[in-house]
Amino acid sequence: MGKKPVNDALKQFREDIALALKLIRKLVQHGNLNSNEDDRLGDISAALTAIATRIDEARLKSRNAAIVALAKQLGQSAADLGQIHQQALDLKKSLDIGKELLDGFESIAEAITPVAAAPKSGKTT
Amino acid sequence: MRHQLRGRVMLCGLRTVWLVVLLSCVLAACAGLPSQSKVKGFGQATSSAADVLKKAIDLNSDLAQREGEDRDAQTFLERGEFDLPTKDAIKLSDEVLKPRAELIAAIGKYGDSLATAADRGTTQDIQASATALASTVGQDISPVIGFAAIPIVSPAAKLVGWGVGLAVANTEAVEVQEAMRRTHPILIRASNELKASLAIIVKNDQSHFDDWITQRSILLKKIQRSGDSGAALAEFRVAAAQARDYETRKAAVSKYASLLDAMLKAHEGLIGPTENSDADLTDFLFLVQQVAGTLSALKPSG
Repeated sequence: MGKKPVNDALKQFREDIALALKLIRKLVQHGNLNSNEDDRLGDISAALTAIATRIDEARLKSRNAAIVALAKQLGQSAADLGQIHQQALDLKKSLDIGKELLDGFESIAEAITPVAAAPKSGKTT
Repeated sequence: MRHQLRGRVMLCGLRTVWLVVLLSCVLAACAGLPSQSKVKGFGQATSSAADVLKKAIDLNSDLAQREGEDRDAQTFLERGEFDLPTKDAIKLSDEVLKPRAELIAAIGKYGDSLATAADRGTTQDIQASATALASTVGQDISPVIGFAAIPIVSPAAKLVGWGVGLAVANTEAVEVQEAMRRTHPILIRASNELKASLAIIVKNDQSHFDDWITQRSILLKKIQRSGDSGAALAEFRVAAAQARDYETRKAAVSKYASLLDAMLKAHEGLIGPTENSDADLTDFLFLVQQVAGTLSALKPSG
């Protein structure tokens, strides 16, 4: 019940940080600042970026489980497609084996034919 | 003799009828299926899109490294103190980036598998094997059915090979389309999750970019104040080139939402073709090419 206002406040805070970082950037680039002022602004910028990163990290972490599950499901889809491709490769292999068997059979038939035909010629040694 | 001739004519006729029936069945079933080349094009583009999305994640780490380096360089110039290697700024952790990178990789793998399954080369190989087998069978049966059959065998073998290839391509297309249909809801959820995640990551990249510009500017001012205008100018030129590269990378990866939307539209069009399907696929291919082209044109700026 009380979570939404907290989320909204955090979102607003994150927006404010983004705006502050842009302002600091402009100030450092275009403001007439001395070295100390630059350093202080540099520290504030680094600290604000660290806070922003922590907020973003927490928001991302809350969706980790869903993301992992989806990656697994998509991996399964890729595996299904791989299997379809494998079936086609297997068919090609079967056709090649069939041809090799027939070629082998033909060679054997050719090798046997003169022997079988010899008595028909009527020649004797 | 007349009897033998009649038998031969009947055999030829039957063969022709069989081929016509087979081919018309296959061609009728082909209607409504996406072409292999379109599925392959989509698969390859999806894989490239995944590479682009991965760059959004890498950018975060790159910027954090530069911020840390430039802050350490400031300390070095001011006080002569340093630590090597330099310490990166706080960045998004592997714990949150790795699952996103894995989901992006899974989308890329899905694209790769689609491209492989729809590769016309496999069908052509099967066609060649079927033709070779049919020729061998034809040579074996030709002496049995008579000399007149010999000239018919070769073109018939080619037709058989073509028919088998077409039948396989068709069967494969049906199976691939079914796999795509099953995957579509998953792809929609993956796309939504990624859009939500990338919105956060891209925003974080922007914050790191702003901080890096701040740290870099402070460093440049320190070098300039030291009085070495040559060194300041050289450093300024490097910074300008780096800033330009980062701006280009940010602009390219900020197209993640359009990329994911275009991918889903093109995927949907391949499952259930409509009059807009070809345009959707073209839009997706063009967008991927444009973004990937922009990123690949970048040179390391050091």
